[in-house]
Amino acid sequence: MRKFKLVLVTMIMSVMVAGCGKDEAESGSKNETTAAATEAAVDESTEAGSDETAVETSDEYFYTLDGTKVLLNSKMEDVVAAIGEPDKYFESESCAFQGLDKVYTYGSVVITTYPDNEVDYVYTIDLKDDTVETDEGLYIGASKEDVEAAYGTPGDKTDIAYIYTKGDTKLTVIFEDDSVVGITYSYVTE
Amino acid sequence: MKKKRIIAILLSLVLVISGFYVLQRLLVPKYQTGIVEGSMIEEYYRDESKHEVLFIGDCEVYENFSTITLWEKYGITSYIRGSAQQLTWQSYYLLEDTLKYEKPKVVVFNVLALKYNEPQSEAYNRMSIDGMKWSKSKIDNINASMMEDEKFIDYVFPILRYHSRWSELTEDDFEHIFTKDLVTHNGYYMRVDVKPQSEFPDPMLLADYTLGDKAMDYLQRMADLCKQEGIELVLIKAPTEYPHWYDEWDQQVVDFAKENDLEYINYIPLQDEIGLDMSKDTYDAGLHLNTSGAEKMSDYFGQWLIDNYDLTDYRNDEEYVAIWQEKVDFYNEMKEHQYYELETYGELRSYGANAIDNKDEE
Repeated sequence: MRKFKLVLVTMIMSVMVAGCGKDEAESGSKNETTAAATEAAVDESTEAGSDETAVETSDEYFYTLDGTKVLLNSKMEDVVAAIGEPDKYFESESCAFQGLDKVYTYGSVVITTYPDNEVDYVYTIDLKDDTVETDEGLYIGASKEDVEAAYGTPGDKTDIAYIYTKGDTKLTVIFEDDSVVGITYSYVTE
Repeated sequence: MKKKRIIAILLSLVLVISGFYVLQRLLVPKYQTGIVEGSMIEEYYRDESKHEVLFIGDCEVYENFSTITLWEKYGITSYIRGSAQQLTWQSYYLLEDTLKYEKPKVVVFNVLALKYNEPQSEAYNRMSIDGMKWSKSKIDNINASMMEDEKFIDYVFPILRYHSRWSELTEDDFEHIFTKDLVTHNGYYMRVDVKPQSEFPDPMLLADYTLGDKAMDYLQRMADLCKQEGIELVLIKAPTEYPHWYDEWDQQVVDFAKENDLEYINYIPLQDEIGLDMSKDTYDAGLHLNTSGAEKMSDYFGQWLIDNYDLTDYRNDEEYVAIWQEKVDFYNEMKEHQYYELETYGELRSYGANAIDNKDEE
């Protein structure tokens, strides 16, 4: 019986310890990544002497809003800290309280976020009209030729859109009668 | 001596397995307070009466249709096998599963889920699948639903997934280790509070409006299964406007319904006809209806059901009256309690997000 007790306790402990180890490892890794990104952002921002809140990485798309480079998958609270409060804000509770889907509107630029462990990350950046343009000069109303001149041949396309991919980010340009009607940056979550 | 040893080993094995079972029961989420959506799928098996109308789908069925109103107004017996962000293939396998227990006359599927062609979240998968009884349908559902980082074995032995909850166990986990309270009314999730609909953001343009092939394939399977079983399949889009339901998606469902000789009703443009006032009939700013909205929706839909299908008015059947009276009592009791909390505190304290916060504070 004593042997049995030992076996039971050992089994329970082994399941728990194995699990804890895995979770801690995962959580540690994520925190390190977040911390490193934040630190790097702060360092670069300080060195450059600007109000940039994120690091520009050449292999991913970003959008410059009011002089601040907004990286996809960066923390939204950093973006708000740099740019200020949005003109309009909308939030909706996900079913079964799995977090809030948030929509921040800055003039003609709309940023949506996705939640992960109670932190909101930039998910999409949508340009709504021709008062704003991408860093490469693309705007709503531009022609298909303008798009190809600015971004080259798209890696993927649909009947109505060109899709450019860089790392974990996408730039989707939507056309109507060969004229640009939608420009959306998005983070690829899968 | 040898016999004694065998008995001792067997006994030890039984005890070890029982120990793991109890531990597993303790560690899995109970979904009894706040996030009750994870209890919905398994509650169905506790309901022993038959249903002539079965709803399957996401929050747009379990929050927008009151099964009790359908009973009280029309004598319709119905059950909602809904779950949070239930994907089309999950609805199909839940339909398959339900047909093992009963054969409804009408199955109602809400089409919003067709927008998803891939699994979206492990949390939603668990809420939609864990409560199913083991069967081939459940196995197929798991295989169709798993995210890349999920493992089949975690569904077989949930302790492997939830072992780390040991440090966050609550009173609920101990109280409901073996038994659970009912949290829905034949699948309907009640909320009587009011938060008026506000302005929604403009919908984002999409690069491709084609509904995904996997989702449409499972819709086809659903239609085929219903046809084979002699069940009427009705496709609906609930009357709520957010998340946005694009016209292009709507047209594809219209075409599908026509090709398969099915009824499809998009209730968004019918809000006024239903009598919905989205300044009063929603509890979360227009995403879902509250109880007054769900009762109006059910009244309207119930009339359409009895006008179009040969459904039985069970209000004349003593056996059913007795069964449903209990359900009506439970419904009214919860409704009264929710109104009491609203009047006393100005908000619901024991339901929804507040219930989670209040538990955390305890």
